[in-house]
Amino acid sequence: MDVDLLNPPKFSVGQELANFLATCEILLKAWKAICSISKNREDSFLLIKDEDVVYVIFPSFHNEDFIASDSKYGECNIKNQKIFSAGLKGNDDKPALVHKGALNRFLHILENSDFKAKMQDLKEQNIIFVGHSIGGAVAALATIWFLEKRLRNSNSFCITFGAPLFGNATIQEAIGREDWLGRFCHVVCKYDIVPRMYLAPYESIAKPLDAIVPHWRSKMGIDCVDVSHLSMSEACMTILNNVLKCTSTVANNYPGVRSPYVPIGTYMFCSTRGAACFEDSEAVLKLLHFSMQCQEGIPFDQIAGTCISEHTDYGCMLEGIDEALLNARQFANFVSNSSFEIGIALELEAIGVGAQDNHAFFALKKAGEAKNEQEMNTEKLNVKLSKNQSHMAELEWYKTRCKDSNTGYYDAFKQHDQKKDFHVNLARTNLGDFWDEIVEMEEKHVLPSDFRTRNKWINAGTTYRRLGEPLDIAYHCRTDKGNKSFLSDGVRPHRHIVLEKWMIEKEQTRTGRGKRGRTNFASLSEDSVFWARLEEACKASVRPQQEEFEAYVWTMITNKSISVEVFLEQSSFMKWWQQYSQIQLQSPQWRSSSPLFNFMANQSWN
Amino acid sequence: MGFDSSSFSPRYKDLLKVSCAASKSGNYFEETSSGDTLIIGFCGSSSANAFNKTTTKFGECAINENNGYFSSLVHWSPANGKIQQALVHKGALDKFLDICRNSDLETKVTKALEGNKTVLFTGHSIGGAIATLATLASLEKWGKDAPVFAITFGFPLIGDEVLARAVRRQGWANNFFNVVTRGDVFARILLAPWESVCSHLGVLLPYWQKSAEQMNDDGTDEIMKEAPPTELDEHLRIVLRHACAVVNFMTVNNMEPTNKLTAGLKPAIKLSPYRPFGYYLFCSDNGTLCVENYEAVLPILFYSLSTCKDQANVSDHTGYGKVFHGNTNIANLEGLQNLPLSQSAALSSAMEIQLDALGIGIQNAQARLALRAAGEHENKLRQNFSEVLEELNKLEKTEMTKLKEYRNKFLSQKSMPYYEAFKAHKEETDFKANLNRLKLAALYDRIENLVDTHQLPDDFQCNEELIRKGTEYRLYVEPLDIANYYRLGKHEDSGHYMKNARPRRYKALEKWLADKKMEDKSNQPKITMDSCFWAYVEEISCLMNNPKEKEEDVKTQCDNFQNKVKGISDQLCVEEVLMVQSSFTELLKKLKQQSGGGVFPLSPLFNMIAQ
Repeated sequence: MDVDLLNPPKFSVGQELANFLATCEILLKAWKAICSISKNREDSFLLIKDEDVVYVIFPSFHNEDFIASDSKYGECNIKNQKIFSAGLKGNDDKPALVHKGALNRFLHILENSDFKAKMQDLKEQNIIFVGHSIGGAVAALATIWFLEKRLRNSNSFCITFGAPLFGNATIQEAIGREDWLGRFCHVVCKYDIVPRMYLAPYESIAKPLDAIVPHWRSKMGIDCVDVSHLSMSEACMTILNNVLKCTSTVANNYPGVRSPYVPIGTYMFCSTRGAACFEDSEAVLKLLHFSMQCQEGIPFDQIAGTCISEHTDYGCMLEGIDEALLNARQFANFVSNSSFEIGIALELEAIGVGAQDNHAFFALKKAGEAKNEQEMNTEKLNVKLSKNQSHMAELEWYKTRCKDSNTGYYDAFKQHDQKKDFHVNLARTNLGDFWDEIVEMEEKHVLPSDFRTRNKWINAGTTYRRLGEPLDIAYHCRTDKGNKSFLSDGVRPHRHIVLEKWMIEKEQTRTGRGKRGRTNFASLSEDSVFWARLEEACKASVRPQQEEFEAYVWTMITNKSISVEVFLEQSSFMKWWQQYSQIQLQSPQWRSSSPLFNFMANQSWN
Repeated sequence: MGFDSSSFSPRYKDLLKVSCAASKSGNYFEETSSGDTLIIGFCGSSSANAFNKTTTKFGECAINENNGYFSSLVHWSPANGKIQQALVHKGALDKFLDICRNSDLETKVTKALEGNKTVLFTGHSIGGAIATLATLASLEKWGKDAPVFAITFGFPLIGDEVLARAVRRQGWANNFFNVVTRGDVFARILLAPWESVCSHLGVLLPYWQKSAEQMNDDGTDEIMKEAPPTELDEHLRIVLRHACAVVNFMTVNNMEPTNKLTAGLKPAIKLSPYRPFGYYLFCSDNGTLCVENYEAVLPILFYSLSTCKDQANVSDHTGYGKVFHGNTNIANLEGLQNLPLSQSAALSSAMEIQLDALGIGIQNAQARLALRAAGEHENKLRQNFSEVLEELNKLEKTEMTKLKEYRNKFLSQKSMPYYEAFKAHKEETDFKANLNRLKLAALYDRIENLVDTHQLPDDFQCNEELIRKGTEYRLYVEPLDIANYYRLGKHEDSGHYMKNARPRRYKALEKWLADKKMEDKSNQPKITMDSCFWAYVEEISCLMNNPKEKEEDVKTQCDNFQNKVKGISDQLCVEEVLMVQSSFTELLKKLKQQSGGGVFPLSPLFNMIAQ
């Protein structure tokens, strides 16, 4: 791989992003909307229109939502429900896990309210899903549900306050693939216990929560109960202790069982000194620990109290940040003159962790560098792709010439007896190397998470596969001595398998216009392994296998996804057909029942 | 290009005097002559009236609403061919239109310009906005080189991004100078929604007016004895908060143009649309900082005010008189991309002294990061610009030359146009030509994309070199794109070239040429000047060959085609399109046949075949 990590990112936008969010009013409006949810609306949701934006607010604080006890961390498979699409899975097809309490609440609202109908009416608007506490996790699920509808004219976004982690790395991968990570913004107070509490197993937090949740409910004006001060403070200490143990395991990468949950989206950490945003999941996980851990000079019980009180204090916190931003701040000077490093230092100062925290500093630095590398790799590939256009043109020209000599480029290349065949082989291997590299980079996560769903690359990859793979098949047939089928395990190049998977997954997300039926035969067969299937059919000794191939060809003909070049006089397909039809003609009913026979006899491709 | 401060400073005082006189006289404007310069000062406004008429959140409206003074100040998008109007502050626009209709302003300007005089518009407060509009209207009417300038005091923003870009595209930006003091809240007022500040203005404007009246003719006014109204504090907070949102939004985009969060929130959040253009002179007690980098202007507007702790200074809207009585040091803001961030890297330059005086000294790391991002943005534009020009030159010598040779070879052989040869695609030379076509397409696609996403200087699309090379490229190579499209039968899948598939690069190049209004030097075209000619031919041939089409439809289309070709017949390279093996020649014969002995609009062309 290229050695140019010496090109560090120029900036880190965390603080600017947070300052923008804190002053653009959207957070304050969202928080006010949450506070307006009253007890009798607790089972449902609330719509508030403001200018061109609709805020969809989810309630929080059902005791039963917080604790889901059928699994260690309260997680469950999202796929059990029919509400979400099958595409919501990992790159390796592993299932997506989410918090069961939040999922059940969302399903409850979906089924027992006019939520669906209301969302139908909102089609062409800016929608912001908002939730506090466990309601934030519900809002995030609602956002995913809405994004999966892929409505073209609506713009949706999710803002949460003090929400717990709600999903695992798999669902994060799925969201990243769709390029939706930028649509989630989670506001987290420096000490608020809730955003990190699901890093601990449910059994270690369930009991203290029993005491604490009623306290929160009364703070938010939902209930009016008195919680004994003594039991509260004990509950606070217990939960902080238990959660800290787990966050420190995670932050320091100690071995052991880890909670499945990961941060998904952008996290905005707030302290009395300011705020900063972070999007790297690993880095956020670490900051969840670093920003809460005990600091010298502050007694443990005081921190424990703050961990609970900050959870309901977002209003004050937001106003405080506002104030902190507008008051001119003078910062201590850092030794560095790099705008990237100073940016990180300012972020750490703003969230109250402090620029001198080396762990946090390097975590953020590493995250910024990794992201930058992804961007730069994409740029490099863009340049390479346009350079590779000439190889594609070469393949295409080769195909044209072969067609003119009535052979078809697959068979011409298989025979390999002319200078032009030798020439085109160079273009073939160059293209193969290029796409191998892309697939490898994608699997090594050094490309942006949504790379494999970008239209540009899907289209380029599909065109390449359809034009190039027949040559790979021909090459295999010509050189393979072991008579191994191209389609048998480990023969078909990995790049083609992957590119086909990318295309299929993308097709599944393309809704709306649906696939337009073709009126003419394709210039390239849509199934890039057509020739490999033909070779298999030729070798097949049993009749059912041959008949299966006949049926396959006929389907391709009916939806016009086959290239007419297949029917060129000298093509292997025609040779197969001659042999096959000779045999089949021995049974009289085949002649009348086979549509392919008619088609071939009439030369209907012309 | 730096700002030449020496020519500006001595006049500063006179300008302010004229605009002060205007605001006191109650006339639309006051004028005075100094040497060969006519100075026109517009009246400021002491009431919130100028703002009250607005119905939009930030008081903006389309610049061409109810008038035709600013027709070129629009944005054209090659993506959809739509025209987007520039937005300006409605209060200022209405006042300007009022003055135009009810005074002899236009006559006076015309007379001055015809008499080879320089015209200088100036104004304080809303008067400054009017001065800007008057300058824009004059430049629109008299062209880029007209000696018309605007100097505004305390009103640095007037229009949106479309306006700012259009001004730079036209090359007018150097005609505008905006003077702003560090503590002038009013100068930042358009960054906040009108509704959030209007109630305070009812109190604050009269106060400022009163203090302006105390400003004597020398500008050596005393600071008001009367304490500022209590609303000022709240007012300041609101303006700062909205300014903070705009500035950080812009800075995020300068630092990380691909940021997903701002992109996702953009449609939901309505920030102030106002964006700067021209030169900015930021005045503090220590002198003046001159800023040309437009991305740096908003951060300085915000950070200089937010660090201004002195209450007396915050009411600085009328303090412009005293500015030039103090320190007259002036420094240009330069080298932002490498602006020092640590004490050890900082040198005490004239620029650093001015930055420090504005509260953007070395301690204000956040402000300086924003300035670096502005510098990075400027640098990126410059870098893209030189890269693209270099690439254009390189391809001109290689790929473009080869394609011209390819075409000219067929032209001299006189039997088959290069269009037909390329479409047949039989020879290796055709394949090579295709590779050259692809390389050029990649470059021009990139240029079009960079212009569309504003990653090149705004005036790049007016660059003569680009237009000349681009036009030649379009005329020679677009026929090959058309040939390729029909060669591969793409029209059967995606419809005809003109309607569905013409690449954006060609649309953009054609539009840029039209906007530039470059003189066409050659009378006898050696090449067909309508680069889409072959697409018309293909489309009508397809139609005529399709047995499913209704006869009368075909007839109408044929007539349309003939009229179109007749209209551009003087732009055709007849020696090429009428070659023996040209599909156009065949088409002509067919059409002639169809017409029988009847009307045949293309008979002059037809007759040339015989020759």
